[in-house]
This record gives sequence, C-alpha cells and structure tokens, in this order.
Amino acid sequence: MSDVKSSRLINLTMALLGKKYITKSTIFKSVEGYSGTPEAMERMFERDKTDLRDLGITIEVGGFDPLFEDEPGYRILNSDYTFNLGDLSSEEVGLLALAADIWARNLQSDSARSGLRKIKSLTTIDEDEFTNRPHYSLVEQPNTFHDLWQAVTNRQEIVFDYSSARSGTQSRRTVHPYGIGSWHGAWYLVGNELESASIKAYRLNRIIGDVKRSSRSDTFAIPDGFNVSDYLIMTKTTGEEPCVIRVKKGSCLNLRAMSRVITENDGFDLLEIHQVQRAELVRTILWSGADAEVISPHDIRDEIRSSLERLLTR
Amino acid sequence: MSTEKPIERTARLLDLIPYINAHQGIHIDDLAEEFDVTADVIAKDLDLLFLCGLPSYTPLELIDLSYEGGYVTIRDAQNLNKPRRLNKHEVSSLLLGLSELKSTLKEPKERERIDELSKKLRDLLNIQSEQFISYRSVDQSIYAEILTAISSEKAIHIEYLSSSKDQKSERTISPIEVIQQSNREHVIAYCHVAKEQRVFDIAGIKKVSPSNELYMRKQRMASLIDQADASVAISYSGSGVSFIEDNPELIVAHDSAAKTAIMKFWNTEWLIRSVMSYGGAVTVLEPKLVVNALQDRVAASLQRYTS
Repeated sequence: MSDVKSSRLINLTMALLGKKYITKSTIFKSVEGYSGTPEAMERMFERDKTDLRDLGITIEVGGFDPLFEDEPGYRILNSDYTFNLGDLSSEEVGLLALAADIWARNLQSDSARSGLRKIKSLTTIDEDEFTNRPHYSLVEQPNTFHDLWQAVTNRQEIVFDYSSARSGTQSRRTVHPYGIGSWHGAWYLVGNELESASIKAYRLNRIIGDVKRSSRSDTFAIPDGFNVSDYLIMTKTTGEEPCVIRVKKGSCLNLRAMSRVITENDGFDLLEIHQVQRAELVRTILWSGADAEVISPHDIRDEIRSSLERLLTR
Repeated sequence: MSTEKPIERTARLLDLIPYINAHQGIHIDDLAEEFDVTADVIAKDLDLLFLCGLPSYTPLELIDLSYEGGYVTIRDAQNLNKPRRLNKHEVSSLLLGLSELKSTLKEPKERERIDELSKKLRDLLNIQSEQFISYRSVDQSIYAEILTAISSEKAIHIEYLSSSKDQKSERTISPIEVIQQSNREHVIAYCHVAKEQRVFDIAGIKKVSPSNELYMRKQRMASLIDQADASVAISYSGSGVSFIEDNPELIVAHDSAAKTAIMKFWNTEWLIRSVMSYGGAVTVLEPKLVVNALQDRVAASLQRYTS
C-alpha cells in the first residue's frame, strides 16, 4: 500500500512543479497512480492534496483557462517548494552542523538534524573541512524545556504554576511564549502574561509541575522587533560610556580580563571596560572587594556603594 | 518498518533525492545512517524512485539513478533536485543551536558569521523577532581541548584564574572528568603542582597548551563537595534566591518560606566573595567567624566610596 501511495505522491509533486498550471482532468489522465472511477480519483486527489500540505508543500490554485470551461488549474511554485540561503561556505555549514549537534540529544526532536540535512542538500559542500572540529554538547535541560520550545515554535498558549522568587508565593500563569534564553546554563522563558498583561521573564526551574500547551497553534503574534534579551536583565550591556575602575596593582584579574585599556600608575592601575554585561560587571566589582573602586560612570559607582551599604549589617 | 505511514515515507523520498544529488556516489550505508533507517529500507526507496517521473514517463522523464556496489548516483533528478523548504521546527531548532553555539565562541569573526546565519534562517520564515539568546562563560575551543585531553589521556598546561582567590596561576593538570556544578562547567583534574585532585572552573582556564609531563591516571576520588565539612546559615531576599538555585549540591537545608538555608562550603574566601557579589541579597547569619570576616571586608570596601 505504502509503495502505491508514496509513488503517486511523488509523481503528483513532480507534475505540479512544472511552470504551468495543470487541471484536475489532466492530472487524472496523465499522472501515474490515478485510476478507478471519477469519484474515486476525486477522493484520491483531495487526500493527496492534504497530504502534500502536511508535508509543507503549498499548492496554488488558479490559471483559469476558458478552453477548459473554467476548470481550475493547480501548481507548486518552485520558489515555495524549496528555499535558498545564498552561497554557503563549508565553514558556515560546519557552524550549522555544530549548532544542530548541540540539540541532537536535548530537544527530543529530529528537527535540527533534518534541517541540517536539507541545507546539506542545497549544494555540494566539502564536508571534510569541518568534521574534525570538536563538538560541544549541552548538559541536561529541565524537563519542561521540550514543551516550552514547542510552544514557542508553534505559538501555543501555555499555562503553568510558577513560584515567584521575590514574593515566594506560587500562582498560575497563562502565557503567550515569545522566546527562550539561557544565562550561564540557567534557562529563562520570556512571554506575554495574560493575567498581568505584561511581558515577563520566568526562570525554568521555578516552574512547578508540567506546562500545559493549548491544542491550537498560531494563536498569537510576536511583536515585530521583539528581542528576548530586552527582557533578560542580566544580558543587558553597559552603556556607551566606558566603566573606569581603579584597581590595586596585581589584583582584580577578572576585571583586567574584561578590560580593553589599562593605564598604569604609581600604586594602582586604571581599567577601562567597554560594553560588557552590566550585571556580570557589578558582581565582579563587588567580588573584588576593596581592591577595586569604580570611578565612573556614576550609576555603577552608586550601585556598588549602595550594595556595600546593604551588605554592612553591624 | 511495516507500520510506517505513506506520508512519512514520501517525506523521506522527497528528501533523499536532493541529498543524493549533492552527495553523488554516497554509500547506501551512509544514506541509511543519515536518514536513520536500515540500508534495506533505503534500497526499497531507491527501487520506488526509479519508477517515478514526469508524465508521460518515458525513460527521459524518469528519475535516473543507479546504485552499483552500494554506491548511489543520480544522473537526472528531474525537478526534484532541490530540498523541500525548512519548516518552522527545523528553523527554530537551528536558531536555538546557533545562539547556544555563539555563546561558546569567543572569536568575533565567528560570532559575526553566526549572526549572519541566524538572520538568513529568520528571513526564510520572515521572522521579525529575536527569540533566542544564550550566554555562557565557557570558551568552546578551551572546552574542546579539555575534552580531547580527557579522551586521549594527555596532560595539559593551563593558565588559570581562580574563582575563589584573585590569583592567576600556571600549572600542569591531568583532566579526568567534566562536571556541571553551580550551573557552570568544571573539570576534575589531577593537579601536578598540588599533587592532588582539584576542581577547576572551565571559564577560569584562559589558555591551554600541551604538556610533556606524563598523564597521571588516578582514580576519581569522592566529590569535593563531600569533603566540604564547614557549613553556614544564610538568609536571602529577591535575586539572592539564585545563590540557592545555582548551588544545589551545597544545600543542606532550605526553608523557602522563611528564605533561609544551611549550606556546606569548603573555602571561606569563595564564600565571602560570592556573598559580596550578591550585593546584600544574601546575608550570612552563622558562624560568627565568617560574619565578622565578611563585615571587615565590606567595611574596607565601603571606605573607598566614603572617604
């Protein structure tokens, strides 16, 4: 059964991929695999169209021809059928292979691999060049990860119980998931929460129990220009003004590693740090203790000072 | 394989043709591996494709392929020479993978290339938003060199910035195993300088080079965590909860309602610096010795801003 049906679907796809629209009666007459009564072929064609759509193939209807008594024609546009990524170097395909590999074990889905396979089918690429590169793989993800990734991709509404870090209380949230981010191996979901009508970030390990996905897909739109990092406070970078820090000689190696310019002085060095993650910078300055003093900008200097005042309990 | 639906088989058939087209002369076993089926299934697929084509199915209009001695060649794929377009799951998993990969690459050129690739993929589905981001402190090339040293049992020379002391050191280590601890990748290794096993934060390893010293094969000892014999009582507020979440292996007791916890630690310097980096969101309650050391450090730091 599988043979007959599969080869008919292949033949139909090939016939429809032509330049011109073809009518149903032409399909029934000329495409191998169609046989039986007109009604039987009609049913067969309807099912085949559905199957091709499920395979992601768009069938266009049009091209009414007066000679054929307004019988509609069908075709698959080549530009709809396939895709184009421009010229890809073997290095780029190598990076995509590494990217696909990261998820091979984690996503419980073959989609990264099948996507890569399609890209490798676009053109002949010398694959030997990048197979030697060591692969990096992710450690295990929280078990809600798969559902959240699916929901983000399918644009499905989700419901889950969430334990708020600040209030320590637990409550049910209904969310339109927009994106996913990770920071030092901790995962976050960003989405529009219907209860509070605002876009929020949720840390995955604070989600309690399962995530329920709505059965319907594409129930919401993601605003154009949305960027998940805008909602993850820890990924925010420092402003245009460099952060100038006065550090003791031979100390603050982590800050030195972050800085672009180091000016040496008697007794101390001045570090200039440009465009780094703000939260990470503040933490590293506090970590360095009395060996570091922020000179500018004022907002970071003030933040360090008030953090230290909070730390002082006696 | 008898349970396979015709639509699943059709999907594979449609993908098989362009794949062979771009990999002329590929062995049937390699195709089987790539498509995750047996070589027998691929052979049957090829038999079927052999008979497919365009109307009116003369030899000139059929898909023209051959497999001799297991090597598959397509001479004429007709109009099926291009792959089906990527679906949203394929695009989104590749985007997610690219963002994760980017976070481990430190070379600016490579990071730029990843941004370009991501944009190309987003454009395919006309996605106007950036849905994925990753940030990691591990450098992929260093991580990879450590993995290679473990599998080939080679000692390596490293430059290391300690995560508990503000010190840089150079040493030779025999890496044994990579573990996840406090949400970061660490490597357990025999340290040739200290002559014992140590745990290194991979993000702190700034340089790796080969070493001539012999690889020290030592049984992995009990986790360092188990050796942590001191404990500390803390309370937290707001973002301080991530101190608990990031160090699950150190938690002895945790009361989330009262926002207090008892934690193990083995290095006072590490504890004091970590608590300070939370800027007041974590408070040490006991023991007094640690509280006093921490307060002295805070007072000295604050002096920079008040005097």
